[in-house]
Amino acid sequence: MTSTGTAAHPEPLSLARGEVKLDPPTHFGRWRSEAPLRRITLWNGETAWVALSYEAVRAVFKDSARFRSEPATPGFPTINQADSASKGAALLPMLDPPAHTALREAVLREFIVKRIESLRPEAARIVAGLLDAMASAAGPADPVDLITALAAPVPATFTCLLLGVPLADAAFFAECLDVRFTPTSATEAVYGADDRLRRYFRDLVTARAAHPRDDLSSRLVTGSVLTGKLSAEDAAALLHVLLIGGFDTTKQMIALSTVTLLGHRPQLAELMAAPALWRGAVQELLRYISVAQVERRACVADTEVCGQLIRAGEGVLVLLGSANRDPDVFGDPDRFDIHRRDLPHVAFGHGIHQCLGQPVARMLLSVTLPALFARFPRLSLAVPVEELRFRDDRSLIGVSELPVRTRP
Amino acid sequence: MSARQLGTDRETCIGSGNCVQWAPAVFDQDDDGRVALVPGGDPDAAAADVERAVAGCPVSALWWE
Repeated sequence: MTSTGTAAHPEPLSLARGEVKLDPPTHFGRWRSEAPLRRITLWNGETAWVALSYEAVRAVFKDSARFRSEPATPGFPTINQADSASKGAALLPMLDPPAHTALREAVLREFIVKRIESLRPEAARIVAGLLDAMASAAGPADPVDLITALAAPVPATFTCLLLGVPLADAAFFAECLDVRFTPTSATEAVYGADDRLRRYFRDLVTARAAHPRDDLSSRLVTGSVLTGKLSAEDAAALLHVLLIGGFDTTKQMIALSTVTLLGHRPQLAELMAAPALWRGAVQELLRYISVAQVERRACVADTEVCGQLIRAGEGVLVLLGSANRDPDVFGDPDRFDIHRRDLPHVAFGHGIHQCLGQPVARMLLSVTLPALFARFPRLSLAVPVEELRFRDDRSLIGVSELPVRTRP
Repeated sequence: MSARQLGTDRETCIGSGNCVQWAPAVFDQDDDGRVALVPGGDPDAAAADVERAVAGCPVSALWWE
């Protein structure tokens, strides 16, 4: 069997990781060294391209006119059954201009860096409360699940605060999103979860239209729905995607950043001694971990990318974690280095769909991580890193639990 | 002294805030979220940061040449 991109039956796409769980699948590196793009076989037997190199990934993301995001586009690839079932949802990342432009514009002001940074004290208060609870709940030698104790509630609480919804609703969100993103979820279950969230946000829009408050949801309703710029349905879908965007991504970034830093204690010591280094460290954690592994596009006009012709009607899976370990851009790419001065990573994507909530992710990470290690200077993993159960079958990587000890 | 001019295109800018994250001494956002230059900011004094901000702009709305 040939390993070139033109094989009649290309290799299936596996997202399974090798021994070093924080590294992208080892075959991504091998593939990337052979060609910047290659053909693969998807879970359902269809074929698509994968974009592997930094240059190819940026080129596909950048050309949003030819590489479309709407799942109804012919050739649009899916990575598993649940992914396929959710094709119908018209959420912001799955829209092309001009619909995408109008929706993004409606909430852009909410994510201005200075505005998000001004919420730092709120985030610090949330984190301090969770760390207090961790300290009092655990006996000296008891393992604590860092996901339950910190990584999940930080973004969940902050997202509820931002949207202006009761904190108690976080459990409902988590339950729906779990069904939605479990690869084996049945089609009806995915529809059901999407539908419950859709109804929740539709009700929220109605409630805020009647009684506006001082929160993002109310500003969206009064600024865009009541002025006729957006339909109530669009506003609800927008709130829905803001929830999805920040929930699991930030949770896994907090968890896997903790694993990474505990595995690089000299750099962690440097950070604790010189807090100004955290800004660069957060960027390096985003590059090194790359929680969002796969984005999807469909080509609508024959286009050459890095010398490879992609035809209209062909799908492209954009592998962000692979681009972020491209040795042509990042010196010694598999090394974690908080002092790195290479080109910017693509962990948040690139082009018009680049993550809207990235200032929130950076702020929450730069509040949570220093506070965690300051409170528990002797924090350690309660199981060897090799024994952590990695969910590497999803487009969003992560661990389902992270047992740690706050003291040795 | 560098003769390079720093340019921004507000029409293309999508307000990602990327440039503000990479080079906060030089780039800012206006009330609409679009790119603005920090008054008195000196790109030459933060050249490496500015180069990364320009390279990292998701929609190529920045140039420094």
